[in-house]
Amino acid sequence: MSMGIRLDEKFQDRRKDGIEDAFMRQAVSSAQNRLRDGRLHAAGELGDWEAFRNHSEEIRQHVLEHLDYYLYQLSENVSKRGGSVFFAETPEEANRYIREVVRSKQAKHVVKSKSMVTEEIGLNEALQEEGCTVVESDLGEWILQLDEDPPSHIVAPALHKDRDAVHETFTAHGYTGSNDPTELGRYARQELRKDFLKAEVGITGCNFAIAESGAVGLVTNEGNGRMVTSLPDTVISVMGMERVVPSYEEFEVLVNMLCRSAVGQRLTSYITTFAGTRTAGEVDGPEEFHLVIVDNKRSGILGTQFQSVLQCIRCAACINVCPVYRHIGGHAYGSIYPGPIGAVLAPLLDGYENYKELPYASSLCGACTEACPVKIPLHELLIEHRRVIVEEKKQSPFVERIAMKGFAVTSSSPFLFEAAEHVAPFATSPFATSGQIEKGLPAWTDSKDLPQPNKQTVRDWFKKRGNA
Amino acid sequence: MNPGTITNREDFLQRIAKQFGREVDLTPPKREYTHRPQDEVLKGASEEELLETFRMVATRIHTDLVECESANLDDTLRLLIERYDGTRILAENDERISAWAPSTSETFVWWDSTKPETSRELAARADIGITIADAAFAESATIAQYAKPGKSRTISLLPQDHIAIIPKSVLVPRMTQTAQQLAALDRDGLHSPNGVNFISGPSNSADIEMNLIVGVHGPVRVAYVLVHDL
Repeated sequence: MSMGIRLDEKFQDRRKDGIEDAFMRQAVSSAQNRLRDGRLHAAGELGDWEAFRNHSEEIRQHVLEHLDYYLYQLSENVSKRGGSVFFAETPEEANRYIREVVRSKQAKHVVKSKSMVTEEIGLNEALQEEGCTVVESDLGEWILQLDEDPPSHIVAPALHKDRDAVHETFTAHGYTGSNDPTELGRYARQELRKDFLKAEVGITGCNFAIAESGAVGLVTNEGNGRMVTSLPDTVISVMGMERVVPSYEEFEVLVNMLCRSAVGQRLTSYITTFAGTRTAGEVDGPEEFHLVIVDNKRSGILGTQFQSVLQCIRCAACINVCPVYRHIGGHAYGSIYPGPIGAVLAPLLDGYENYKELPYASSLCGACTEACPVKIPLHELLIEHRRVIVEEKKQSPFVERIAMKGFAVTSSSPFLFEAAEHVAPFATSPFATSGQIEKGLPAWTDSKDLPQPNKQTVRDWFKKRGNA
Repeated sequence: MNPGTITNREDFLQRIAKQFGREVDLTPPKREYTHRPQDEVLKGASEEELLETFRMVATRIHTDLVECESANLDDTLRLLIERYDGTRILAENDERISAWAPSTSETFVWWDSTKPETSRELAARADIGITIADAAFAESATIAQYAKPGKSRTISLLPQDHIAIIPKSVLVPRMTQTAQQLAALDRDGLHSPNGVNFISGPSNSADIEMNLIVGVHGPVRVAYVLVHDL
């Protein structure tokens, strides 16, 4: 399993593994197609999709600009409804608090519903140290947990496994049925039901918290989010600090965008909100509730040129249209956040040192930006990352430094632009044999044989064409 | 109810404000949005048009839909229970349907929140759960169940099959209208329900090879019973 944001292994090896795994590539392509087509269909049905994107964007921007107010209001209202709120600057603080709660309940069985932020802070490992069994109850997450494999997609985490792989995993767990997905699903239902009923503590993520209501909202299809929040006596929700909305009205808009963008559904089977603890006359729902609000370097993004990445609603629409993700798969990104959103977010949350290749794992085609339901300019943020890596961090490969420096200066000088175009073939020529760049260039260009930059420049070509 | 504790808030909020180069600002911000497309969806649709949309989408999400008058509710439920072959039935206690007293089954039980242990136990063992919807949305064939005193969050979750009675009077175009009501309840002093389950059909998953599996953790089968005169 992953510990924190980062997966182990080096990007080079991971990417190579991805490209060589034929099933994975086929599965990724077909999943991308289905999810993308679903989104387009659902967007078409809604009518004025652009107006919805504009509204979603303005809601997210408004919240980020007033994040201190909305987190204050949220915490006040959670508290009024009997829940406790813990603000955690670091993963360690969050994990320590959650461990204390679990210890105070003398809990041995913890059941979780899908949550990216708990992956991010490495909560499962922390709880295991506490001597608890921690069960992931999302079907895809459960498969991965039984196999000790990290997720490869933020909405469909077990995308890289086929039914035979799942069959093998379940058989090792005691399953005796066939590889039919429905039968496999029934087995998960039967096994996980036991865990739901015996868990003393339930842990959830949070799609959106509603400030005015003191409520946490979860979007699921399987119903595990409902199980985790209805059955255990103690419930802990963990949220990234930016995942707050002012009221049910904004919640509704964003939930609609999330369902359509993530899986092409008008609404998923279950949208669940729950606020604080159960009241007199209620039998189910938590009698003790804790909300843990995690910063983990998010605040450092506020007020910077990267602020808009915090508008993200984790729908994965950008992942589902990305040609690079299609080629290398989720694990290759080395982060629990893959695809364009991961390439922008991972370096911000976990440092450029570990992810300096990621902003280059992009063709800058802009499909991600166009697909984003909250209008994050993803490919522009990737370019900005490259600029920071080259100019401020000086961490890029030598050739890249030349190229990027050239780009910055030449934008204001047609003469230099022309000169730079002439230089490109020379800058790469030591690595080239027979007109194809084969080896030696690090990172992204290594993944396939790129044609060498043509010695004829665009201007040359245009001039010749004009004279002809 | 005792208020919960709040820990580390001040430092946390100051870190945010500092990024913006200002002090922590706790005055409620004005929400002035330029766009409001949500009101335009199914705007001006007649009741019959809303019903048509509801019917069409319900089929799409693998949900059985039955329509009746309150006078036939008894028979309709009996038929459905027979079809689902359920013996242990647990039903939400609601005045709108309490007139319906099923005489057929000794294993029929009304939810009783004064007996928490028994109720929990029954929910875990029941074959069919029967609830009455607090709201329904035409656009997505969704029902809303409010969590509040006397109600249960698990009747519609734990049993293998779920029958949801939908009074036609609670049908609105889409989630927008219910969200407005809930927001108004919060502004009125935090009076929204303790939780809301928005339910659209049976539980499902596409986690294995993107194949749709209907019936994962929640109900395997869902029936909507639309009652025209309720």
